[in-house]
Amino acid sequence: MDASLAEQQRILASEWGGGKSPFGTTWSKFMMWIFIISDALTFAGFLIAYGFMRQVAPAWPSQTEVFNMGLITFMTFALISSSAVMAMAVGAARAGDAKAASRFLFLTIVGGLTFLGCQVFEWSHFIGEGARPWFNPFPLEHPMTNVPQFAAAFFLITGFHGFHVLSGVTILAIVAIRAAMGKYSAVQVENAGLYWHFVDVVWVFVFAFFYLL
Amino acid sequence: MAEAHAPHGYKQYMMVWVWLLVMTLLALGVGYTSIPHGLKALLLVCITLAKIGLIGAFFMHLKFERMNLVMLTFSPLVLSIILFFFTYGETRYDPTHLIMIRGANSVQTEAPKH
Repeated sequence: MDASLAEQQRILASEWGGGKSPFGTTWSKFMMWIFIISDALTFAGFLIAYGFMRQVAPAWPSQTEVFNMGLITFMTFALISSSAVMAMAVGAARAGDAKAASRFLFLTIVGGLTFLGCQVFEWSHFIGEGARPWFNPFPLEHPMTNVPQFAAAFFLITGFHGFHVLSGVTILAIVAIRAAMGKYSAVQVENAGLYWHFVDVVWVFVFAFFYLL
Repeated sequence: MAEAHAPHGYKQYMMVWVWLLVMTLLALGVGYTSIPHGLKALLLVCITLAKIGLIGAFFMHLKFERMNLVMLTFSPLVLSIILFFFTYGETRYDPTHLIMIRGANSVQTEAPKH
């Protein structure tokens, strides 16, 4: 009897025995990280597929001619700024300052909506010029191909990312409303923040490899 | 206590924000220069890794997390590097672009000796 109790205690005290938290986080934060890792793998798959398609394509349109790079840079600025403000919201929530937290969350949402607005503009412009997921209207060195991969990659990658931004804004709005009502927890704000920073990280990759490379 | 800590944290976030903007402009500059494609890719990879390092360490607080969580979060990056190098070899020998260019010229390469 005594021996089994001691054994149980020994197991619980060990690193992976269940009595400790090996990652030193709350379960919800750890689950958010697991979600982010799986989502990162999705985007990694997209970006590597894009790299593959681009390598085997006979030509690729010049992005600086096709896209309005000023707008893209502004979108990047909006997302990075909203990410910085989100970090401050998490800081305020941790410090127990609900008023500051909801104010920062509101600013984060404004940044996200600015980004989405720009993306809607970009998409409508792109579609207006004749781009479709299966057709690229922009001229190339090899005139016999239209490299539909270009438009396909654009719609898939920015579409998926934009949908993540939209989801993020929705989550942030819920957290902000709860914060304004005083019904939030710092962990909740932090988890929403992790997701939002992840969306920013994905955009850093898309900006560098889709728009600039 | 919390009041005293908050401004310090904000200042750090502002510094990270400024650095991220600087590196965004740097990436933009690299994108516009006409250097060899491989060098451009390498520079953009370096800038991107620096940016995600900053976002991860400070905004996502990985600097204050345990090392096993940090390693876990960077696993997709390692896996994507492996995936990239697995598929990159295929692109060197993939005949898709040859078929597309040849197809427009003529059918002369079709059945050369009969």
